[in-house]
Amino acid sequence: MIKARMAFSACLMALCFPAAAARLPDRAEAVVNYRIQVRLDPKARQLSGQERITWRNLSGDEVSELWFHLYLNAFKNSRTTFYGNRSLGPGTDGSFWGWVDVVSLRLDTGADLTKRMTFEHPDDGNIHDQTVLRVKLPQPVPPRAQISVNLSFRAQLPELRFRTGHKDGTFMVAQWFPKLGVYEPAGMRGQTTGGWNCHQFHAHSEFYADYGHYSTEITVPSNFRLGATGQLKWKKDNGQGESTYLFEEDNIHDFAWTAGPDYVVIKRKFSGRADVSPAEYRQAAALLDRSLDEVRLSDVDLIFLMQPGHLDQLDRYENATRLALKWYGLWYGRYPYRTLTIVDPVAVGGGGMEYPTLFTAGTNRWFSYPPFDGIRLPEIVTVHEAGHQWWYGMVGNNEFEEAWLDEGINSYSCGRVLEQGDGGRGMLVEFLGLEVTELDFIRLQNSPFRIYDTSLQPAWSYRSGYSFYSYTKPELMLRTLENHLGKRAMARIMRTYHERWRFRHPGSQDFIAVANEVAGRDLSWFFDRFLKGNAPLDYQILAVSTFPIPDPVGVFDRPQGKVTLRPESKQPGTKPSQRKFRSEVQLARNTAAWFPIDVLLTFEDGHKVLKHWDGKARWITLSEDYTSRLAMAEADPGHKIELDANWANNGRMVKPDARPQVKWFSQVLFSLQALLSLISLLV
Amino acid sequence: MTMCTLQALKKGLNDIAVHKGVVFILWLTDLLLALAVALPVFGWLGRMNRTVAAQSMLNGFSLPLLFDLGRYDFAGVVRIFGALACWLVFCALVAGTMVSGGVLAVLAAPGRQPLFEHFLRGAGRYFGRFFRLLIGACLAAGLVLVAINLALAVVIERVFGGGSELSPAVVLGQVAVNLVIGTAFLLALHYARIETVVEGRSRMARAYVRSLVFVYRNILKVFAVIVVFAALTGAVYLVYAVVRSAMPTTTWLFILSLTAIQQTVMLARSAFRVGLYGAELELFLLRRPKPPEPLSTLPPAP
Repeated sequence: MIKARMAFSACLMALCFPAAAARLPDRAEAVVNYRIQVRLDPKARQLSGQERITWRNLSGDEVSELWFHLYLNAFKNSRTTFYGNRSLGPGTDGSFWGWVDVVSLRLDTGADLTKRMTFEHPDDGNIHDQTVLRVKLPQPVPPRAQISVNLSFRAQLPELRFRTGHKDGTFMVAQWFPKLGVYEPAGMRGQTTGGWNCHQFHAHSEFYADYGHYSTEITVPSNFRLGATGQLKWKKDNGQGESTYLFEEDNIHDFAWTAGPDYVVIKRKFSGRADVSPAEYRQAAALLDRSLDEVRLSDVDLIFLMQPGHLDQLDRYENATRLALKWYGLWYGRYPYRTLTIVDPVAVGGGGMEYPTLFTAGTNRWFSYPPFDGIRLPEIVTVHEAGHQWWYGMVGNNEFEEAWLDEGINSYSCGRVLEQGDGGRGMLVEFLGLEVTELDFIRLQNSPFRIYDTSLQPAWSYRSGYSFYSYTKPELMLRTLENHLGKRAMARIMRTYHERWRFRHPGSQDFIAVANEVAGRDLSWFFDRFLKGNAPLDYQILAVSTFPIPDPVGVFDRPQGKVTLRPESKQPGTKPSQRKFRSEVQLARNTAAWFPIDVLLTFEDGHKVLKHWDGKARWITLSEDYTSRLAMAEADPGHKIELDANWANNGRMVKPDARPQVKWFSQVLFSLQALLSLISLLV
Repeated sequence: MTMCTLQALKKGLNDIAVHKGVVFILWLTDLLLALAVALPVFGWLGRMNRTVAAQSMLNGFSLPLLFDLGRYDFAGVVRIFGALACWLVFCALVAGTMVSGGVLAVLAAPGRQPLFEHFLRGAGRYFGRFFRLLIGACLAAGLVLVAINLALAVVIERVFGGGSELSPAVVLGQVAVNLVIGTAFLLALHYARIETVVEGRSRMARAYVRSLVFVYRNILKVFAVIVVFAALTGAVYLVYAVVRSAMPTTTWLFILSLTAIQQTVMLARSAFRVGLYGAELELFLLRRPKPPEPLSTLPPAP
């Protein structure tokens, strides 16, 4: 009955809002169906489980094997690809390690495939790594057919690190079950041949999986509080001190949960009516050129699992979550699930991480008290991880191979949401007079010396700076693109990209195609340079000068004949007020990449002239004749080119102004005297 | 607060008025020492003179701008910070020791002229002894603090569990314990120096141990003296902070006024340092262990 009602509602929605239904998909084409039963033994810190996986072959290929991720084996020993044979130092006792064993694997027909399992090492050939498992099937899976397998597994949870494991009796259980990779047929994400995309677990890489239905029964001690992906369907006590919970969700590609005796569970509700004003709906609809119904948001149950010592920071988490649900939802598409679980992790190592309908945030007790409350870490992490519900959760790119598509786009989106909630400032830190905005934070990571890698390469293949190329540079790139195209065009690019690839697996080329289409112009030059290329960008004003245009001297042809003008001869009718000055600005491009740039000339009388340069030459001299002397010149005066690695060299004044120098010299002198005075007192 | 402490404080404050010359010497010494590092910084800051973005530094402080200016002149920044580190070591080991010798010599035997020569003679005369005292006091304080923190770590581990996020109260408690013990050792150093000047001691280890005992026996009094002067200094800084926050610094007049205010604050700070030396000296004279009574002379044998 309930199913019939739901189907009727869905039909009604589709009839009422055909455009909305077409543009913003509300469900994925299910490829997988997971039914998992798992029991946690908190003393042994072990999981034992059964898993039934049904996989649909949506490709036109016959598929003769299945590939699984066994992520927990990344923590098995020091020789895994994850640990990279590093020295792990002291403290690596038995509870440090983690692993997962597939005890048995059978087809629905009962055929035992356990002996057909082999470990694969597609990325680095490391024979000690057991994070990828391949199973040869007795019969290939024909196109459009499906296959079901039954596994039983046993897993040891490691000490909490990389958001997985146990700490002080609390368990963060992520990347814990044998999970299928993604079968990519030829043509998908630029693949030339069909095959399983199933990478090993690296220190710098995340995840990639198919969408489908997850139904998970979790058995834990009855005194544990539990939070998990999806909706809680029922809870049963077995009378022996244990309780079993069933969580279910559709249109997701992963399942994570956490349990512990100390969590404090608090429930709230995000309301599409109360949390968003009619004016905000209208603004969003106008910005995106969508109907009001298309931007309308749904209600969401918010479930917070808090550490007891952080309860006074619940408001900070909650406000940030509401901010995120509102603006990500308005800009990219409504949050489609009924619940969102926010986990305040037990310790460092359990910091921010995203999973479908659940994410971990992170704070510290000190952030409750001045002046530390000016450090907005809880808000930043919450808004960032909530953003991954859209960029990773709903738009499921391959995080191993194209991490920028979720981390970079999400960082850009997160920055915009933080600014939206902060009057446009996006303040990250206000601490003892120091102020650092989100833009400052990312911009200062940029440098002209970052020349070795690009944002478009596998996450594990960076020389250094995975975080810069996956998070920071793409954010700077998208901010620059927004300033170049305008807010409206950029908002529509992001919306269209989300709508088109919601519950699907896009590649970088798909994003570029949407950007070209919506912007109505070819932006390949931009992406080639800043996404695929590794050249940094830096413009500098080398010199500025201004001087009176000298009176003409020499022989001139005039109607009355040749006239010789001498330096001392006065120009007839020329008043001092009419005298012009020539102002020259030398502007240089210090790096290989280029970008069109504006240059603002400001004159002593306040007059301003904006000049445009295509930015292609290595240097250029811009000149302007005007009745006043030049006071200063600024390249990119509005700081639109956020990819520019150094803004300090973008402007130059004609006459030096020593006031900042003297002011801060005085301040430094005073500080040193105070320090000296303190030293004298102490020693 | 006992009469003894009040008398010491009164004497200390009175010394500020009496020894204005010492206050001036102290201020001037600090200024000259600070200029040794501040002048290279002044040169480095000159790069802001033609930078448009540096105008934002007139209204406030821009960490991103300084970061941008600094990271493209890394060698310059390293030079400045290297100089700063050397300067700190020099000030800690040499300048501070000499200054305290000079000030105590003048306060313990006032009236000798010329003042500057008297100050320098004191600085030179006591430098060696004060230096040994300083090294000994640092070693003693370091060892004791390490031992106490190791013990605290064990206690905290047992009570709150290993690796857990400690509550601010526990961390603050730990800091307070360190602060009190550290200050006690610091005060012992002050009183050992005073004893050296007053009684002409030359065996510094013994002097320091005696001072530790002195501090232990007069713990409230010695803490009261330093807390009062710390509070006075804090009040001056507070007034400065209020004035500073209300004062625009965009014009030359305001910038030069700010410099004048800052140097006035430093002058007051030097005055309180002289006052502290004076009060501690007085407290020592009032509370120092009495020398044993001389044996009464027996009448000569008939």
